[in-house]
Amino acid sequence: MILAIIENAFLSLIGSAIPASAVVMLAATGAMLGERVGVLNLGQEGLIGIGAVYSVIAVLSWGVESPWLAMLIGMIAAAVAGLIFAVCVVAFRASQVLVGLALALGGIGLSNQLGTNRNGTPIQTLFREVNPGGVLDDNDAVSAFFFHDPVVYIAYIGLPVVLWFVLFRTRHGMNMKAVGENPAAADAVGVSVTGWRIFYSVLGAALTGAGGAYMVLSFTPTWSPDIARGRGWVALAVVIFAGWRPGWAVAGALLYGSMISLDTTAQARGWGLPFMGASDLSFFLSMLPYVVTLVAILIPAGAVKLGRRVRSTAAPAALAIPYSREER
Amino acid sequence: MTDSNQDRRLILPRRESISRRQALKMGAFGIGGIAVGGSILAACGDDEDDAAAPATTAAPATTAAPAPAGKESIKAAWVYIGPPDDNGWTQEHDRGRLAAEAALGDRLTTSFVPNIGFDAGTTETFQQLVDDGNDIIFANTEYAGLLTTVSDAAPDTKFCEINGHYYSDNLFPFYLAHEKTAYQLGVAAGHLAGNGRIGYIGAFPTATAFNDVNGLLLGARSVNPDATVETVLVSTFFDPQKAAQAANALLDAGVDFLFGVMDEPTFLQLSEEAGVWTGYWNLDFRSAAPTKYVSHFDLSEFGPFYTEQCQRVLDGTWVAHDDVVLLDTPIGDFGPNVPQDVQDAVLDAGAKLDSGELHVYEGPLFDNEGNERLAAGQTLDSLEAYAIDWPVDGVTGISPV
Repeated sequence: MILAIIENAFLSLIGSAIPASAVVMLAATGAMLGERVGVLNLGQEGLIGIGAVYSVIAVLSWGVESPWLAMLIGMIAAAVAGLIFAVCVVAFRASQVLVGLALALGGIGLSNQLGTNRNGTPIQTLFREVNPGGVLDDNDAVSAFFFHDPVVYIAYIGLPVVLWFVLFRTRHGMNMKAVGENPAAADAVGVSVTGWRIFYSVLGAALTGAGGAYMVLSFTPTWSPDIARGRGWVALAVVIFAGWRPGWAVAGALLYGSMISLDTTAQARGWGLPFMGASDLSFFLSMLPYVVTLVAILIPAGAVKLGRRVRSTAAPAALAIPYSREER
Repeated sequence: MTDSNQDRRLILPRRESISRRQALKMGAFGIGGIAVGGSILAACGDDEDDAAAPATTAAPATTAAPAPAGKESIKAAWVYIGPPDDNGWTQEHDRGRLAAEAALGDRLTTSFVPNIGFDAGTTETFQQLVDDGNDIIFANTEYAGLLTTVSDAAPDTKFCEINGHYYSDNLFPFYLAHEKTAYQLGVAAGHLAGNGRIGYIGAFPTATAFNDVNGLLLGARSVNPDATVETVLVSTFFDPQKAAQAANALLDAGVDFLFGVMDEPTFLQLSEEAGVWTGYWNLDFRSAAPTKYVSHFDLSEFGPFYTEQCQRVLDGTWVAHDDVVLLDTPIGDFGPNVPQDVQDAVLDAGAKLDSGELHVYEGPLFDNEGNERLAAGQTLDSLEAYAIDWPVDGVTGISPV
């Protein structure tokens, strides 16, 4: 009985957490790509906004009828912003922190500006959930993990597997890690540090843009100002929590997503705390995702302190350090 | 319509109740955002008078006893919590602004500032509008201390703050008598929600939310005595992502009717997809839920109100009311699939509420913690409802303040 309630609760949480944090998953993967080659892009928040607003423009103003094409347009827009960022920090060796913050704030402002006159307009071009061939009906216990749209599966399964394989099973991945850990050594064996860093930051920006596009093409089918609302920052925290490993990012994103879902699910299902009224509970629950994010970041830091798996949970050694061949 | 302004206006004695500001304080505390919370608390703190002091020195010295003479033309400004194209709350206010502009022609110049949230920058915005020479400034959410800091220091500028709780010589609050409208929508929900479960997406535990959920529940129970209202509070009026999550959570939990105080219509779309009846606060937005749309709260009284206030400034007859001005909030047109007998029942309830034959709040009534709030035969009028701080028994997810 108790077990059934807990199982039911867990599944309803996960069922709504999975789509809710797909945007965090995509942005975290994008941020991780850049960070693996030593480029810290704090502008995730802005890139989500840019990806989202261009998808909205594509659908509402350009009449795009395929959600995939709308998402691609959002990704391209974010990639352009990512290219500007990459040129600044890689080619001109500007501070990654400052340019990243500028991208975050500038991206939010730009997307809000472009989104004017499109606020609250419903978007009908949406990703549709995949029904697994009538094999399951959506009352099954496992249904929490199915009946999502295809982007969810790409974000949680496709991308992490591909990224893991490339990073840890290919020579290309070895080179990527070398660029992030020791760019001078990579340079010495003929890897173009500048080229790789620009390429992967742009690719990462495009993935983050896909996260923004996903928000407006499935999760909440409408534009609103400040659309990312902290999800970009959470994605950066998830990368740290994951120790720069793709598989752990899935756990981090789901943890955050569950806390976000807990806010509304707990209220809708009448779960309460004995010492807190329903109104106070609503405030407590909206705080929870950020508290949990904070604690989650401390876990890998604690692991380092305890000497466990230090090498794999530490940041890439050259993260946020501009590379200059003359200075090596 | 123009003659009945006096009838439309109801007077509320000054009374302390939870304000949106207090709720925000709690929200800021809850979110734990140090920067945001700090700035709100700083701006709303008890040292408002000190903060206002530097600004006061300039204004009053130059303005000794202005004669109540009329003006050729005036400038009016609106401060909006959201964008004027949100298909909701702010859009209705902007329609009111344009109506005032149309009515007064060249004599009224208007402007607006969108997307003004709750932080120290808000105070700067109001100060800027005062400095720009606006004669009257309207706020479409309760900014409380963020606004009154400025209004107290600018006695020559008039202010009207929606849903406010502060009164001075140049500022008074106005709002909507919406508990009746919620009751009427509740009657519809009582007929339409097969399982009697009504979902409500609220923002903060304020009188607005209490009147919404109480009206819904009492209206629904007049039809179905087992009806319940399940509330999710999301601590914001404009965040489609959060509204969507709340809507999904309520729909997954199994409600058969979904309503909310959100400033934008995302939850209507989700309700339509789930095949659940839905209604909207602000305006007719049946396009978001073509088959499941029930009705909305009609906010078209903003135009006449704004026009009247601007006219009074022009005439030199503007005075701050001692009490809140409550505008009439009729129920809007029905969606295409609402059965005729339901429409009739809703309109019938509305007529009885207007005539005084029926009251939204009529004892005996208990709050949802089991305390008796109204004894048998006792009633609350709209003025008292404006300050209500408890949900009736049968409402969950929100507790008495």
